[in-house]
Amino acid sequence: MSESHDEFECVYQDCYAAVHRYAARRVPPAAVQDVVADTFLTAWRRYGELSGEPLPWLLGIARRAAANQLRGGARRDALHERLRSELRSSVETPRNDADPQVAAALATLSERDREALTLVAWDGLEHRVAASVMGCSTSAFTVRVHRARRKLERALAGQKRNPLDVVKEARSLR
Amino acid sequence: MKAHAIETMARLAAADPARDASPDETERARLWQLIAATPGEAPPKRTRARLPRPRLRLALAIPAVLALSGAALAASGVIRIGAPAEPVKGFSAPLRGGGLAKGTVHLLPLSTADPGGGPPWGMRVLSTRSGEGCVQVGRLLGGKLGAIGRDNAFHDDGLFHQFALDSTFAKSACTLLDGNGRIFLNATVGDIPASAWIGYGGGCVPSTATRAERIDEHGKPRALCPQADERNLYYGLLGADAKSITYKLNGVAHTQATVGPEGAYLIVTRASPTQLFNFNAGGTQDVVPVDGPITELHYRDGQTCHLTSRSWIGGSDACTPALHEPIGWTPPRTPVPSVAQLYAPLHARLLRNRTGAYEVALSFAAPVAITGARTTYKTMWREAGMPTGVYGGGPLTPSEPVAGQTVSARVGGPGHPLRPGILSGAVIFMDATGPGNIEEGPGTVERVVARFTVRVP
Repeated sequence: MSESHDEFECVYQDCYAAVHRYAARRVPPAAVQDVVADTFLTAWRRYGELSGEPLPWLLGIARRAAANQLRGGARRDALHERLRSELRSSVETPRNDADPQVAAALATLSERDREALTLVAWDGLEHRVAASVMGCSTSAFTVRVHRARRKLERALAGQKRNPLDVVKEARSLR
Repeated sequence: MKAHAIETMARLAAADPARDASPDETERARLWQLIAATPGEAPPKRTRARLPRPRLRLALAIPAVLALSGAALAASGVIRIGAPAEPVKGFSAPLRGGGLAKGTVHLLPLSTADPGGGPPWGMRVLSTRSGEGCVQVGRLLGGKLGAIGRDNAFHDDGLFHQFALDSTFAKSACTLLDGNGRIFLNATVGDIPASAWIGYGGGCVPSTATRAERIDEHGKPRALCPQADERNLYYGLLGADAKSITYKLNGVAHTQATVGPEGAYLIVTRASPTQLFNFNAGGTQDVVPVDGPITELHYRDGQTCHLTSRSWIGGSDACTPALHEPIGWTPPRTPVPSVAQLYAPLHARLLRNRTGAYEVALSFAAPVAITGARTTYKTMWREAGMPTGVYGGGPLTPSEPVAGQTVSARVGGPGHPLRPGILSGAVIFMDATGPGNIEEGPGTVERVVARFTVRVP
């Protein structure tokens, strides 16, 4: 085996779980293994382009793979299809008993804000690493997370409002 | 980070739909077998950045004796000068965008004791030609700002390593300059090692770091810092009108005068063992200090800004009673171009690339030049079937065009096939007219340059 083959295997073994969890948070359970397979296959082909930390690079690829999955129009080449057909047999269904209020509040955020928050809170990335996943500077990412958190808090606070207060407010605006 | 912020992030973390998901080991092994059997066999060889030879020799030559002598020096309180910290290539955040503006680098006449002793902490400011101002924080020795070789930084040599202007990364906080070229900024950064070094090459993370955070840029495990070596930094520049700040630590209120025309302040505390590392590592920035121990800002005209749990909202919530924060901030002198000035015909062409996939090529002549960090062009587009609130975007080339220069962008392409149906979007000009960074906040004006609609077969 070549040196790059061995290196890539280390990257695969180290990062597989993180990529799997990343996918499980963002695509339907049936598509998780597809995203993981797409990610590592792309990474295998483009390993020569990796110049920094492997995980943010892989998550950047996984982000695009997940977007493709969600768009549902991704072109499939023969190898992708082969991987899918062989892996589809036993996809894992992640437990999803998320806080419905948080889920509803998250849904009100833009994709960018949601991704920024979840990269930190769910994927546990520090801002520098998450910024490279999103392709922006750390300072821009920091501001984005901060603002996204505010928006999330506002959305959560909005859910807690007493419906009577909302009616009163609406009346006062007339 | 204040309790409400921690609560929100903790609640969000608890809502992680995959928190209990563990990958199936059989699937892991099976996917690896399939990838390894991919035609072409080995992945392309990775090109690596090599350590400069002298540094490599030094790294190989460092014996345990040196580490011991460094520890002994540090313990005795004597810090000697070591080699300057190397600039971090590719991470020169403060100097990105036009480079350093001459004559703007100032070490502020301010020093804050470290809770564990040793050289105090200090601050340096600098501005870039693209209109950004940055603050760097580190340890002070002999009038220089730098880091100490401890906490797994600089091979624990115990020496002082002066920072290059771009040798630090996350400790630098940058924001747009105001209309008078001044910096207004408040930053909270948690869990910084007492070495003051969190750049590449060495460093450590606290025991509260997640598994992902414990991996360094080379994929190797990071050292764990002793909890006693973790610091929280609260620093900022409140402007010439500020007089002092009041902060509360362990129930005791302290009032500290701000320093110089920048209105600088810097508080250094030990980090709490219960704080969440990943939420603090990048820190926060605001028009007033939030997520920290500061409770009041006092101004020379007698006004006081009382900070509350709602100060993070900004605007009239920033202070109680409401003040126009940041006080003394001057709006940018260049007016936002009018809609008429920004009008530009946009060409949108549907193409098929070499793989047969559809792409949309956009091009327009920049109606106004992009000359700094305050303004930018961006694209926003939506494909058929995209959920509400979701949109795509992409880079424009060049990012800083002169007026009349052709700017182009691609929508779709290899790995991003377009969905059949209507693809619609716009080129937007953004201009940050308020304090803080250019973002989608209320201070940033967004004007549509042109819209496009394409039917993708």
